[in-house]
Amino acid sequence: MGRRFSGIIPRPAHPRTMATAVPTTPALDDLRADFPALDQEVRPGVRLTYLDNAATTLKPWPVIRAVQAFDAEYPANVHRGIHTLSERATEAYESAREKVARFIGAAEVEEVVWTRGTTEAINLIAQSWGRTFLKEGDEIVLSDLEHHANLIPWQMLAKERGVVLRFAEISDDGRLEPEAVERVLSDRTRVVAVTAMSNVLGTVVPLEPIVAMAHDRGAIVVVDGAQGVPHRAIDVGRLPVDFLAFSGHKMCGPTGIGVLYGRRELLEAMPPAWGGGSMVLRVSREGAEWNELPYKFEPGTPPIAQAIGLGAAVDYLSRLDSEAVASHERSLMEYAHRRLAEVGGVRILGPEPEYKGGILGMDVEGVHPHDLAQLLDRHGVAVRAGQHCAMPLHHRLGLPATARASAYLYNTTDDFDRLAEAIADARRLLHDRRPRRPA
Amino acid sequence: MPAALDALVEELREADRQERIELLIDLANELPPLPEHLSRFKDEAHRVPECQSPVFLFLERDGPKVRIFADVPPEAPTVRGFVCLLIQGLDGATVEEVLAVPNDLIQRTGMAELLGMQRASGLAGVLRRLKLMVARTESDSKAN
Repeated sequence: MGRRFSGIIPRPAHPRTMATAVPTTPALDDLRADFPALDQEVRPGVRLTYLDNAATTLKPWPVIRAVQAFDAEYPANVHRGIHTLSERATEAYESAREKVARFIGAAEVEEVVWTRGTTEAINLIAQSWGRTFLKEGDEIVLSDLEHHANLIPWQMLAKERGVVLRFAEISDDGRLEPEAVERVLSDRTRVVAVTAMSNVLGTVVPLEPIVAMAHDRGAIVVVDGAQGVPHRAIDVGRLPVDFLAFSGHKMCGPTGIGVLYGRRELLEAMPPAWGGGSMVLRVSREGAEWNELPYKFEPGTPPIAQAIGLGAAVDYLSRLDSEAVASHERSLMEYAHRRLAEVGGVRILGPEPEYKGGILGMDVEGVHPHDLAQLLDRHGVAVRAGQHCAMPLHHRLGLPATARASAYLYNTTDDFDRLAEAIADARRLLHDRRPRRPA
Repeated sequence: MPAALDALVEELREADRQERIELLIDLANELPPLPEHLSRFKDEAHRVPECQSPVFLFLERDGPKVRIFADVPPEAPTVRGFVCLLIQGLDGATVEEVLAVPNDLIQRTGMAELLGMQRASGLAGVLRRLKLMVARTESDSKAN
């Protein structure tokens, strides 16, 4: 154990374009051809329109093939095997970690800890760093936008340790202003934990001033990057957040793999949250000596195929011009706002497109979101309905649930045309149809 | 199964996907309003917890028979349609007949295939809740 790999990665000027030599922006049709799941009928004659990307994104061929290659050609366990397949698996697995480190601009590859996803990553911070360094009366600042993954772990910690949770309020159009965060900061604030992008409203949170304000108060900043990292480059070298959590499956990678990025000195000071094999250097009957970073947080056999798949996803995304992708998604949102305004009874929740990423929260008059999603599925339009693991936000919005259409790099304006037509049809079906059953 | 319920199940089962959803919406439109004397009891004790939409169920006994009443918001037509199916199919049924309704009723109507596992499980919760209420009224009436 304790195999060292690349050590320090020089911080690139443009980390998202480093993985391949020539960043390109392929035509949208070519790009769509990379995603086999897009090319299907969900029922005979009904083509898929996939707008549930905030829940999980589709996988391009290079990711599918990378996972298949591991399973088919070198499905060995990593790190300790003294044989060719294990060496190959270890190399692919650790190379994926290096790719992820470059993708987010981490100074050192050891600052990238594999987790099962964003949720586990934030739980790890709360259970390890939080339990070690927070005491009664300390304060954690969250916001009204948070997904339960960035709320419940802190609530559990607060209950156990007498820590106080404070909430920065959002504006009526769903924006989180830095001033709202500032209002709840105090001398007792030790942690500011906020999302980079709301998973319900798409609101992009202005992290830069929030990070500066938190650091001025001596607080650490935890960023839930589940939605933000796949859509906007968060370069932890340029934006000095202390922890960043995100998931592979929301950025073209497999499910079951996620990342906790943490600054080295913070990770060094944290005890492991879980024990087992691989996370120790020496073990006796009396105790154990923890392995070095990042392994001390990764007991047991890791999700090898998934990590390799995420590495392939990062390669794929790195080939694209991130500015062009962001601009494409912004154009889609501007189009969607305009197009849905033409459909009666649709209220788009959250801010104007300039303040948001590719997420469209909707309230459609006279239709419960679950029923709406059901009726849209008749047209092959996949959206999500419910509270999206953000109950306090729905309480703030005064809505029991919402419908959400979310775009990613492969979506087109045609997708939003089909969404608009399907919503109009759902409303016709519910309100303007001659009954099939005799009265 | 009572003949009325059997006929409704058959009608849904024979419908294609598009017709089935339209039938459910029609049923939703046929749900009678909650009688005024029950409106003030729309509380947690009468709510079906498995449904995210606020679904309230009420039972009244008329000798050996049961009368079912419900309140479901019109914004949730599929749930409302299913609840109406239960009311139309089981109105005036005996306790035994309600308790004998097969638990896979949703599958038999073809609605499970239409609605997906998660929503079908919410609707199954309505049937479970109804049976529980019927069983309770039966044991209460025996206790009295």
